[in-house]
Amino acid sequence: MKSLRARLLLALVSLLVLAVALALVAMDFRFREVGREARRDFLQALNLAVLGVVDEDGNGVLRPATPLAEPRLGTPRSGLYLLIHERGAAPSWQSTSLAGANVQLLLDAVPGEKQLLEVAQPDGSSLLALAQGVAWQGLDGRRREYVFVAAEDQATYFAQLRRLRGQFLAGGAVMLGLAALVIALVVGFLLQPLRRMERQIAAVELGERGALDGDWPRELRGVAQNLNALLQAERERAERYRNTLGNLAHSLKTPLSVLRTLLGSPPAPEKQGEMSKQVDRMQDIVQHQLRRATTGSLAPGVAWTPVLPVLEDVLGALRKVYADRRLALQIAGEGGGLPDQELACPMDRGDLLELVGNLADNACKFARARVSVSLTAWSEPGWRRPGVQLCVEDDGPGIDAAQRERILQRGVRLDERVAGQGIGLAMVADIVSVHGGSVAVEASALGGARFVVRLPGR
Amino acid sequence: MRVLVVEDEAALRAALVTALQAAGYLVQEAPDGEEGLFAATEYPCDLAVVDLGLPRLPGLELIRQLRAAGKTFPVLVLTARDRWQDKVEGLQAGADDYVTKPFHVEEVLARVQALLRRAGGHADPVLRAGVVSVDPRTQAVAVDGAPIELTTFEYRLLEYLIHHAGEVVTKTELAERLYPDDAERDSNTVEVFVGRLRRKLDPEERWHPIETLRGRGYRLVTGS
Repeated sequence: MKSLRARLLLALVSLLVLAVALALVAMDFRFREVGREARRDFLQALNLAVLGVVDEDGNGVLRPATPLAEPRLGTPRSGLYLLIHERGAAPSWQSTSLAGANVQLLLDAVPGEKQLLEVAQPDGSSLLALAQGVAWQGLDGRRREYVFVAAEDQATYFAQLRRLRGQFLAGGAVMLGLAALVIALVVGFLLQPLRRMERQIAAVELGERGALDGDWPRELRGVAQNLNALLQAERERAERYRNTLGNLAHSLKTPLSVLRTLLGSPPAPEKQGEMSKQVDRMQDIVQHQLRRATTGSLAPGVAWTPVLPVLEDVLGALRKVYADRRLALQIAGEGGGLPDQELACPMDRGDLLELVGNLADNACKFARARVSVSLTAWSEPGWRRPGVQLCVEDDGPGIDAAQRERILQRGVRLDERVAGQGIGLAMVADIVSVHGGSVAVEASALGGARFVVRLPGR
Repeated sequence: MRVLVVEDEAALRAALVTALQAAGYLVQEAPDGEEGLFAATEYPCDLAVVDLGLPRLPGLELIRQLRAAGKTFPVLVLTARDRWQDKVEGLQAGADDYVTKPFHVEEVLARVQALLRRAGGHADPVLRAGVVSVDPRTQAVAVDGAPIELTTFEYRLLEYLIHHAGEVVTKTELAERLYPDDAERDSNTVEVFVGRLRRKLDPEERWHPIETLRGRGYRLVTGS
């Protein structure tokens, strides 16, 4: 079931079929009930009519004294029959319609009892019969018990029932067809915004439009917003790549031209140092730009990365790297206590590792004996999840107030950078800014530098 | 000291091997992860330099397998990927340090020496045991402050001994640090070289820096 439309249609039509089938069954049941009641009443009326006119004839046989008004009783095998018999005896009287009909109707009923029965006939047909027991005080004073039987062939009724069922089914089918058509139209109408979205996305892909616009149904508004955010992030990323490439090309130009001048003259051993310096510079540039280019999973809605495990990983790695310096590397939380394990920030793990790694590595390089990392939460009204504040400090020489600004300048081109300044810190500034955070350098109580990174929550 | 270099780029491997040999190490090389694993498990090894992007068996996997096999010698990782994620992964897999590409060979050499020093428990770049001192950076050897000239073989013996100062070192171990291949090994040679080393380090027999433990091997004395 790949299609939403097919799913909706299937579900609705199945429901409809079920409903129509139930309605048909109920109608059929009700019709048969009503039919049976009507025929019983008719037979009952017939019996009463006969009862009203019967009398004993000269031989003491009970029979209608006057002919009955119902013409079908006078027509042989008309399908409507009347019969009077004494209980347990042969018929004392039967209607003319029974003449020559091969019908068995000797039913039994005690006086006062009425029985409605379906009587199967030898020829396969079926009669609906009402047998009524009657006690008769004869002229001779004897009390006799008679059974009056009125019966009607059900063939006509069955034919009627069949015809009616046919009509029901036909009506149901027509109704189903119409309903399915309407549902198909409704589903089409419902899915229209989705198709519109599809067309707009296709247009975005072709570059004909920049974003999804228009008024979307409430259910699709989130999707449209997310898509637009994604498009925006994608565009920013592309922009960043373009800038990176431009920067790379520009910053490689200077060392290349220096090398070219050096090569112009016959190669001299004293120029090797200078050439090597230029190659180093190019290498630096390539490294820096590569790092920048791979940073920043900008798309909103990135998974939240728990911060503490990343800190532990980085400090674990640094303990190995600086094993012979025997630095004390510590992680602390709020007020110097244990850090909150739940604290997370909406950043790709790779970026967070890069951020923490560069800061902590920098601290280790300058530290005399101690590096301390603190992890605390901070919040602003309206955030459902807190932001993260990371402080990395060391007991090294620290950074001059005058240089603090410059050291974190973001996007400073490599060829404009102060020599000896680590590219790691520029990287930190990049990552923090991409994620909407801030970074500052202060003097640490430990004596060295203290880098404070604040990443926003949501 | 025996150093294994696992690097698939031939030019880079050659440069590393040359530099390491010049620094006095016995170098074994492997062009891919499988061969690296074989060399590291079948031959004695004091340190491995492993590139992460290796054919046949990735470097990280190689390091994991070495550690799983109980090999504890230091491993220096070379990697072109310089994201912290890669560094942390490498160190967590069991590497001890990393150098990112492109690098200066001197940088690798310095890290190798630092790792070996650390593995031997020395904090100072100049290794000292009793009156003997060795600076692996310059291969300068001194006894009680007076410089001594050693041949390559003698230096190899002494460097191994001083990295394992205070420990008993067998003749086999020493033989393995003299020659790269089994064929040339012979315990008599070790005895000859140890004898020569003793004469150079202690011509007047004042210090007795190298002890002989009969049937077990030698020990470089740590106290003065």
